[in-house]
Amino acid sequence: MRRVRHDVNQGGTVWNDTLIWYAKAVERLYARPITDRTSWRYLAAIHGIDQLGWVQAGILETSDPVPPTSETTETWNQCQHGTWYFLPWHRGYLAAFEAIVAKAVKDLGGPDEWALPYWNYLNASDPTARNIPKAFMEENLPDGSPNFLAKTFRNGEIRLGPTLDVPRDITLDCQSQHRYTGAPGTLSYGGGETLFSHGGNRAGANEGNPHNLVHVMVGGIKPPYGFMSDPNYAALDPIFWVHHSNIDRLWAAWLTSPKSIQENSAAWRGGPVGRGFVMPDTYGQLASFTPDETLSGGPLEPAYDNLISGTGISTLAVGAKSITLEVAMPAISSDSQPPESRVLGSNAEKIIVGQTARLTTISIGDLDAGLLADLKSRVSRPQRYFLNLEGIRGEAPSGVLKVTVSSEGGQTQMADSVALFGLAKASATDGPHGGNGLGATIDITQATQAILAAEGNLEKLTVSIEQPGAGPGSEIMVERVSLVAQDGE
Amino acid sequence: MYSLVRELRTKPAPSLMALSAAGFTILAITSPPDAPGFSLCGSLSSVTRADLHLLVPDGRTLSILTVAWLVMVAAMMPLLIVQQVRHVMQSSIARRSNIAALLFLAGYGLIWMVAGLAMIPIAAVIHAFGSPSIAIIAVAIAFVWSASPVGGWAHNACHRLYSVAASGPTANQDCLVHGVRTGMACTVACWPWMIMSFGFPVALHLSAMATATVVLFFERLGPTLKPAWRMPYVFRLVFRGKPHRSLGRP
Repeated sequence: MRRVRHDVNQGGTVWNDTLIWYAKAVERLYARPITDRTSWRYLAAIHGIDQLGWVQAGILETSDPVPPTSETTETWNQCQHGTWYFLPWHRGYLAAFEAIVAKAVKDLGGPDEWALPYWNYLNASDPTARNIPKAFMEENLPDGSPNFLAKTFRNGEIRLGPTLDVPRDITLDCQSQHRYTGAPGTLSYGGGETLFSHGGNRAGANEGNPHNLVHVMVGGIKPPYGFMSDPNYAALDPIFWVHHSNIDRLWAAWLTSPKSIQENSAAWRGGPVGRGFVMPDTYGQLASFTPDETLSGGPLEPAYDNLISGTGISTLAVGAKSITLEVAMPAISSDSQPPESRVLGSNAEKIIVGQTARLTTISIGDLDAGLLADLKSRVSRPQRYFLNLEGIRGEAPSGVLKVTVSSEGGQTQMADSVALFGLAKASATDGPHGGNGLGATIDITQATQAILAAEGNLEKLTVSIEQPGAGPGSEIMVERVSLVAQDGE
Repeated sequence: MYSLVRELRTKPAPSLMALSAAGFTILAITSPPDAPGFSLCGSLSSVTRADLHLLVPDGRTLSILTVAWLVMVAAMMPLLIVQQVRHVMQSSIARRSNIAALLFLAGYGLIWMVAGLAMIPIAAVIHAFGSPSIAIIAVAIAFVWSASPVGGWAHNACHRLYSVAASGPTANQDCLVHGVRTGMACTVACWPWMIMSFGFPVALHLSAMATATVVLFFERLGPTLKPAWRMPYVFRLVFRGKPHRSLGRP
């Protein structure tokens, strides 16, 4: 039986059958001990867990038995971020979760065909789409029993959108990225090539916006942080799953565009060497999967009722029979490498960023004659420019940096605001990130063109970075800022 | 496995593999008794317990041992630093990428040479007392070290990527310092593996070193984890109960 995922806002009412059964299943899964691989807490720990923090937050008792370390080193703290495995890993994670919840729904007397809904927050035709669905905030279900969809902690907004702290809106800009895989220092749809990456610095456009932004908008970027702001807690919030269902739907929609170039190399399809991707099945048995099994025709391919609404994909490709993903993906499968990128220059010092903007200068150290002529004559080659913030470290679970660029004596151009989901986790030297911090890549091609159009000079680029929502003691270090160029396709 | 093959085919892994192969080739062709000059095994092959007190004060011996140690490091270590060398190369502007790599290697090698001052005498002692039981103990110490919290801490530090300037006056220093810092972490993580081969008979030194190189390569592939007593990654890789079931398939 093929499960078809529907919009969480079915008909605009607070409750629908899908959500009521979801809430009841969450309650059932919460009752299971963490040693049970189909329990709510075990499933959340697969994404990330800070055991001491969970005890302090009352999620675990110190006396609770936990699974053996030999198992948890393979299954817990597994989520893939900042990597080309971000989308396929989360697709497999959703599939395992959906099957376990669906079994719980069936065991509770619910429908066989229950499927995980998606939160269609970028549906422009629904003015309430950006609101956190009320069903995730109500204290009780319609029958008066406790609502486990609200059993979480949030300290963010109840409506997604730009605020003073997060001065960036969620958008569908990512959907216009044509290539899945990016060269080093560039932005692409699905991220850059890495090995197993519990926290890398090669995030794709989908992961940056809307994924990361929705996480920090729901969880908040000021203490006390909500679960959604921290990868070690995020999957404990039932809204995490409907958020990721929509992120996955965006990928499914992107794959229906014949302009899209989906990565198809054996290295991507086969997954990382060493530690692989492991999930529990409905019986609690561990099962593995690889990224190629998440693509069209694979056993983990999802089905959605609508791949147009709120996805930025206006029409389905010729040959698509229906709006579900039951046809082969029209996107081009390719194992060709993206156009090469090259570093043009970087700043020379680490900067500590608080609420006040900090300035740093990128000295362009690799101006070949052709590029120099282009820059000076303001003739734009089909070239893309990217600003890279590297080695971003901080103690807060998440943060937001607002970045602007300007040339010497020129106008200031907005580059972007980037959400730093999992900042503290990536900064811990004894954690699974190895202390390498986060990275953020911003496409500044338009800003560069605007500077050139205003007769600016790009040989020295001034970058301003600030934390709009910074509180005392929440400074963020940025180890390096660099400028990367890539020939257009 | 495909991702590993791709990793090893991507720059600068082929060059580093060539460096390692060159090191092993020199060790192989200078194995005792032919020409012990560039092989630490060969240099130490005639050392007996009675000679140990002469080893350190003898400058000529030390210079030979220094070169021999360098060859051994060049053979065993390059595959462990593929990510770091790639990082400094990719962080630099194109015309500086090779210089960045060389400076990193210089800093990295420098630390190993300093470490050699302590480790060569230890290797000599192990060799002089060499016996099957010493070999077993040396291998056991290497595995215990890799399983220990200190070994885990060093393993995490080996994965660290430091920022380096793309060009300009600080770029050279950044690359050199990165090499030094990675070298320090690598020395702490790998030292028992470097000297355990001397517990084996001379004829097996090269095989033991090659085995240690493979073990260290897979150890380095292991993810960074909170330091704790933990089975070495290579054991977890070999003996883990990988699920036979495939998610989503009946």
